[in-house]
Amino acid sequence: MRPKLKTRLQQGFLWLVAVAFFLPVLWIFLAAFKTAGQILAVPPSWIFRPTLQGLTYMASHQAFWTHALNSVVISLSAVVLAIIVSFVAAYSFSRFRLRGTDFMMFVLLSIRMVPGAAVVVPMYLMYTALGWINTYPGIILFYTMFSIPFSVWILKGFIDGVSPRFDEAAQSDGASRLHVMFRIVLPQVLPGIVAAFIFNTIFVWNEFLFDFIIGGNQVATIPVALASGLYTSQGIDWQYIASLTFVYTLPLMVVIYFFQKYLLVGMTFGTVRGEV
Amino acid sequence: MPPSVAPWWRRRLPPPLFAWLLVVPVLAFFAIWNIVPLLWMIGLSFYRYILTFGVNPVYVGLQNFSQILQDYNVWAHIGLTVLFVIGAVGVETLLGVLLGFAFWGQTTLPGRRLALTLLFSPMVLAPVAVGTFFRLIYDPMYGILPYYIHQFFGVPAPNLLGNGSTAFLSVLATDVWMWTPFMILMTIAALGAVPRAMLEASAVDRLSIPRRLRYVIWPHAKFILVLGVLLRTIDAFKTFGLVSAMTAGGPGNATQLISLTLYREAFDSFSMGSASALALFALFIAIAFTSIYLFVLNYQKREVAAE
Amino acid sequence: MRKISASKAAVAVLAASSLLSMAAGVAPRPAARQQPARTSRPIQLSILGIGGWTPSELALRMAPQFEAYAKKQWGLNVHVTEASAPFTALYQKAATSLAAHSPQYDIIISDSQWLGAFATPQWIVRLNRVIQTTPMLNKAEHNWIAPIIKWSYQTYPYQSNNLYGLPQEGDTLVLYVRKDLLDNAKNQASFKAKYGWPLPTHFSQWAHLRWSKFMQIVAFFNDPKKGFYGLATEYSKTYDFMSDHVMSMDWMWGGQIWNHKTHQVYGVLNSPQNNAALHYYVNLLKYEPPGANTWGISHDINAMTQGKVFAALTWSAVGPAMFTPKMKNKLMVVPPPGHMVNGHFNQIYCIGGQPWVINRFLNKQQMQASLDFLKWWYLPRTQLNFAKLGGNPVLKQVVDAPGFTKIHPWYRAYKYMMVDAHQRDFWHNPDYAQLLAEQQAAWTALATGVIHSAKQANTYTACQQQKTLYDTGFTNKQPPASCRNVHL
Repeated sequence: MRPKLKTRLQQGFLWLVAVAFFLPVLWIFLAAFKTAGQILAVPPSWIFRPTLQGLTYMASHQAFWTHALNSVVISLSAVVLAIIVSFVAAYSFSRFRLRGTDFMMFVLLSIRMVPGAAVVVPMYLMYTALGWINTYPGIILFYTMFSIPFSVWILKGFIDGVSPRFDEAAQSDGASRLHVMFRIVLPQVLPGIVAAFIFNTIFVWNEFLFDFIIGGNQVATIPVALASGLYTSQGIDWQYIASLTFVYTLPLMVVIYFFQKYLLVGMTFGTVRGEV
Repeated sequence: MPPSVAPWWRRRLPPPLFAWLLVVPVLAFFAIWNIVPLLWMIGLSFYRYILTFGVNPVYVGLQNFSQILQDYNVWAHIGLTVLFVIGAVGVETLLGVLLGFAFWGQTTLPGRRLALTLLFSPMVLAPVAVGTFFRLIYDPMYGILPYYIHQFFGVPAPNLLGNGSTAFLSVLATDVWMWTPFMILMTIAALGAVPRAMLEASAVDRLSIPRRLRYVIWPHAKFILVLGVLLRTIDAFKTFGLVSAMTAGGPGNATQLISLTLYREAFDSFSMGSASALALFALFIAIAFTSIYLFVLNYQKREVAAE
Repeated sequence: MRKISASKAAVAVLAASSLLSMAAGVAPRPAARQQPARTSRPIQLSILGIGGWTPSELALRMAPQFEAYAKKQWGLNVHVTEASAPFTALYQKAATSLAAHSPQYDIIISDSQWLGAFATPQWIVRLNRVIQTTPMLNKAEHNWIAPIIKWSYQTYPYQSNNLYGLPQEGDTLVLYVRKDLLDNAKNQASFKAKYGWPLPTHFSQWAHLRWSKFMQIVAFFNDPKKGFYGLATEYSKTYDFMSDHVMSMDWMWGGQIWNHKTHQVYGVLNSPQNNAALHYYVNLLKYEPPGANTWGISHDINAMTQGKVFAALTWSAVGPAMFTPKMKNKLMVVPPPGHMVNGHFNQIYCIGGQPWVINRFLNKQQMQASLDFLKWWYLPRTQLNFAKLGGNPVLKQVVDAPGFTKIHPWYRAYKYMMVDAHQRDFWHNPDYAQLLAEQQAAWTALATGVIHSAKQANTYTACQQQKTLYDTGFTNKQPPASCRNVHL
């Protein structure tokens, strides 16, 4: 009986940890269902009659739907494009071992080191000069670049884990290279693709600085709306921010719940095939 | 190669050309969105170019750099940033590895998937939202944290963000809360990379825990773990949205990270030349910082090879 | 091998150029908006305003009235669209767009200090000729309530004859006080007993109140044990929130923030008067709620409307937010206190309010529509409507008309304060953002105990600002060598 109790205690502790990390998030989520007065109430109110006032107010704004649509369109198209491009390149890096592969991989990682506030300066000047400011292709292609390094890293790891013998076998059966790439290799690295997809979506979904500077009112996403809509004439609009954060974060949490397996496997960079 | 009769588009490309063709899109992206801006930035850093003055860039040589190097504030803000990175990444790694081990060991935890989803929830929030809400959470008048501190410890509700000495730690704590889950995730993934068979074998051999860590787990987990720390270091160095929403670098300059200084130079002062120089300087520090990890990784490799 | 590398280079160039042209092709060019005038398709007029700022939002809310007027008066089909950013981000949003020579915002609600930064690179239209040749604007130009309106909202260089903006709203710091507590007979009796003079209860008594007297009132009502505090002001590092108040104190205490002819800061800003003023301002925190040392405008409103403070020193523009149904009968708005220096009663506050500016990168049609909008804006009828909604009009006909001060409870203080004797503006200079950031850092450091002396805060600010102005060539005097050792 002793070891059982110990396990129970350990498990209880782990749940406690999980809930502790979730508490502030819960606090924000609850605020989405409170009135402005309840959000600022002291002592804090944990039990209250929920109101949909904040959410309906938010939904009644045309701008909210524009921003939400922008967020979805921009992050999905950027990440999908990045993954296609990265998969193809990762395949090449993995299979053909071109001269400079290692160097390229390092350079790709080092791109991530540049502080955003540093890149945004030349990016802004370049976009200004080319007239790309406030355009969908401009912002989408930027986020594509934003998502490429990480995708290449994950996907190369996974493709490395797929034996080249599959390729050879298929090719000797007369399959074209593209067939090998997309029909033979791709299905085997699906966890990596899903992981790259989730991770990059989280990054792009939440990115604020670049959309604010090199975007404009036409391509503004929800983080920008969040920063711009902080205030009403009555002060900080807590209800609005809470509602927006709730609606905006929930899809990501659902994705993490359903694709958790892939997320964990993905972060092993292809060293593991099964469950983690 | 025998002369082929197939039309040119059916002909198989020679492998190197095909291989390069596959890399071209990534290279194109890389060239347009990295090389060009980087060159632009390097070029601009030798110029004085203030957009709000409406005059063309003027070549000033190394003046921007010498001003940065002599600026007490730049060094102070970089020092603060380094402190922030070390503090945040240090605590996150420590907590993340410990908790990661615990979660990894409990594969039969009831509702594990839900527990992990809740655990990972902080890192999917938008930093701007986190910054804004933590300003409320820390508020001595309306905030939930000072209220409970007051209730449980009987001390007056602390003014965490309005005090030069606690503001930095409060921002740091928020970052730790937000990103420890990432290190937990990386730890679970890293431990998942250790082959089960080897773990089982070491258990059968009754290898001591430190030895198991050293000889079985570390060699396999090392890469992912260090990569996790590396990514965290890079991102902590870049922290912007969280702090700008929470304190705007204040009070005074108590939380003025270098990214905020950089942003201010570029988009408050619109001094693009000196902002570029500062950006290059920051980039240089970031690379120096991260190459420590790469050095450690390589050193470990050599050490393993020597054994 | 050579052949391959040549071809791969060609492919790379091809791919890059096609990507470039693809992205560039979709970008809206300024020219794309060029349409023949007076078409049936509505002209899109886009206005960038301040999010969460009542006068800004009111103007945008009134836009349909303009659309109707334009149709009736000029047969114009105009559709006004709005965009906004909060104070903290508006400058970046406006300036980055203008620097890109983008026509995306036709009219921008700027802040008065930005005129220099927008006018120097010629991002906004110089309005002298337009105002001269447009009778409706010309008439307005000669009918502002005070010269300070012109200097603050229109001119760069400050007080020159170069006009770059037109006033959107006027604004001044005013004092919101709890009338119900002042009218309470018990409070009146015990105050008199304690301080030997009667609590001021009328506007006219408040109008000549000194800071020293005012602080007695604040101390009297301050009751932290009950969660009630004497005063709320601003100390936030965000934007200019603390600076507006500190600079007001400087001027009242007899100091200057710089020499606006020579741009000398060192020795001017860090004067004994200013040090005393800053010290005094930070000491007000004794009577302010916990956490008030990082407060901005919105916190003041929250504290007042939730009944947690006796008085709030903030903008006339937030009047509509202050007078909630609950507070409606409990509040009074009065001129903020002054300070006696050498027998002279200084009641000088930093002017608020914002000008309209017009984007210079518009085509003819957009430019005309923008001017039409401004013509409509200065119609006395429009201004009166604006006043009724709670904006702060600046036209004589409206403000001096009988009954104006009865429209809203804060208009009497607004009218009283909006004269040259009570208002001053700070630098209209392209360096303004840098100058502002420097003093915000130093003063908030003092307010939060990072540093402990007002002298140090002001010396640091003076050193930094002197250096900034020297670097950009506005002054030829470097900061003194002693500045090397002044840090926060």
